Amino acid sequence: MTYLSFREYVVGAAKIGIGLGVVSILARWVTGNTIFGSPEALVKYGIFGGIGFALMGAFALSMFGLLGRKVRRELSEGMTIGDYMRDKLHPFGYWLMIIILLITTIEAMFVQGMAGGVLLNILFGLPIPLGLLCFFGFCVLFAGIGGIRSIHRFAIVQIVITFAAIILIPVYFFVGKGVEHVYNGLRLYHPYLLVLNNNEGLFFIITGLLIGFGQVFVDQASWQRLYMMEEKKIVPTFLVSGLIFATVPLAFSSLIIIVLFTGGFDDIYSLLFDLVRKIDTMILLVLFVLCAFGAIMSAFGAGLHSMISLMVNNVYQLFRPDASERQKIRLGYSLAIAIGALSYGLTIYFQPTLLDLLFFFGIMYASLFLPVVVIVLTKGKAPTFILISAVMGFVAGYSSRMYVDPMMAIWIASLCTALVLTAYLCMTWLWKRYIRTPDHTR
Amino acid sequence: MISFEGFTLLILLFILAPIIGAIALLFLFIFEKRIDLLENKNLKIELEKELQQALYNQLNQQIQPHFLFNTLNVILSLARLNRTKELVRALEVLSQFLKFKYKSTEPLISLAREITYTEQYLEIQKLRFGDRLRIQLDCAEDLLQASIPPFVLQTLVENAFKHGLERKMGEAILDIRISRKDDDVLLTVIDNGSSGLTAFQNESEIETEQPHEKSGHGLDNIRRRLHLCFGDHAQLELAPISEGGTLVSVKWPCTYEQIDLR
Repeated sequence: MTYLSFREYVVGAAKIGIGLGVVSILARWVTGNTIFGSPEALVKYGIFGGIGFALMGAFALSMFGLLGRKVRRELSEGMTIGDYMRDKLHPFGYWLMIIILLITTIEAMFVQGMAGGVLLNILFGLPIPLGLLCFFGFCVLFAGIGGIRSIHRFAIVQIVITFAAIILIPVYFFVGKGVEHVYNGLRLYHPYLLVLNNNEGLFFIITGLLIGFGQVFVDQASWQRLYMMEEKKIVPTFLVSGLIFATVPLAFSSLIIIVLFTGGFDDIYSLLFDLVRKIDTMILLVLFVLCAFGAIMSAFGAGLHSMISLMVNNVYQLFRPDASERQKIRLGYSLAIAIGALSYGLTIYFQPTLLDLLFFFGIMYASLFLPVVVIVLTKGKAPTFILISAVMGFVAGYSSRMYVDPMMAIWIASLCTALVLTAYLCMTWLWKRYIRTPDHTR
Repeated sequence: MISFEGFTLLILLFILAPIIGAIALLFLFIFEKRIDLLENKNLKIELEKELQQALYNQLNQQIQPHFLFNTLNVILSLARLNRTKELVRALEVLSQFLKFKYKSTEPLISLAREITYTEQYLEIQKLRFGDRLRIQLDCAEDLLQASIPPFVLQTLVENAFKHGLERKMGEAILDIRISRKDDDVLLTVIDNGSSGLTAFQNESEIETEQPHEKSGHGLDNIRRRLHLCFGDHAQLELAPISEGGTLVSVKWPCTYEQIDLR
């Protein structure tokens, strides 16, 4: 894949329309998290868990579209979130933001890597290290070396396969087994899933919304997609993406219900294994496998590509402003290999569950959401303290994790950020209104 | 606990939602280009409309000096002849007339209004010609509210004087007829002037050859404005009359859509 400039590698040569925009965003957001996370949420928080997952993505993507329009109006010719932050923040704030962004991207890729390895293990019995090596190798090739053109080509195929799988498999099973049969099975083995006044489930939905907003609002791949489309198409694209995205976790939840109604289970991965065993039609099994791999790979690819873009465009270029386009592209390729290797190492070394990871990094996402919104809404340069309030949120969240449950820690983190930010904004307003501005009425 | 019916509905939602999502996505892929194309076409049409409006306004502005110079010539003739009383009346009528001229920006006005303002101009001419001038104006009652681009009748009347009646010795006759012909309005202005057609044609030729250089010529201006308003459905013709004089006929579709604000 030859690119004439680094910009072409990052955002493509031409602006994309709503159709391809939606596909690109869906490919980024239909991830290993959606496949594994939404069933896990369903099992832990009942039927509301799956709905919460759907709502989380739908609202967050739709709202991000609104914010994105403002971003594009302010800086129309950027490429990455880093470009915008460089324009809005003072140097210290900018570098702090870059560090936070790099950490969150590594987390996002780590999650996908883990999901990929687990899936390979479940499906083909491949040893996890070997499976992961194949997975990362392929991702580095198609996204890191292939660039945005290859990512979009892969995204179209992936979305077609995903929809084919999530439409055909549930229809096949529910028509075959009958809804009543499934309902009775659930009532017998897992009656807690059908409880309506499930406060914990509702709490998860609201917490999920908070994490979802944070995840989308600081996601570099989503910011990059803002710059790939025409300004007038940003809001409809993200709105439609949100609505269509919401259908995917719902479908995956229904897939898990198919497995759950027949008996108990050990853990979430064994559920997926049961699901694979239950799909007795070859074509549906192939569809499911391709859908799962496609989702994980496209999400990892989008993460890898956006991280390379950020590192080259917003870190390397600042130290080497005279670097040629060729040099930047070559560095991008080298970074792809390095990041792939790093992700491989991390995934082999750490093996938490996906929901654990979601809650662990959820603290960061939940704390970042408000500061990012305030930065975008601030006229002119945004004070660095806005970002420091997010760091205070991280500290509060991670410290409280030792004493309270993970969901509560996320709330503590976001509340701390919100309080500090509100106090700061009030003080700034009062300072401007009554102290700094001379009284002209006298 | 969720009832069986509630559970069925939820499963239905879980199954139908991706189908609807897929259809929406497919729709976007198939029709987005067409929608974009339609949007661009609409934008183009809007821009063309704006351009036409600008062109039309420009033409309307051009016609005003044409009238003004003709009328000032009339008034100058009165002054040279020391006909003070008529001169004062002429200035009075001119002032009323100009009030309309500079306020008129509508693309179409009613025939009744156009006739009223033409009559004001004719009053000035009557002062000059006195009893020598005989004017006949016939307009079908039902056509009084029909639409006409402003200054069409006036320009034709002005030209009838300028190129025909001014040079006419003896009785000057001006016959204005407005009638309906099928779905069109037919306006004819007949004068018994001596060499009107040659002058009219000369004017028309000059305008055709140098459309941008003329400023005081009205016929081409009328043609262009009629074309802008009615396309190829409107026409303007000049014909000589065997007994002497010129017949100018204008035909345009009968509509009642004038934007008559006053």
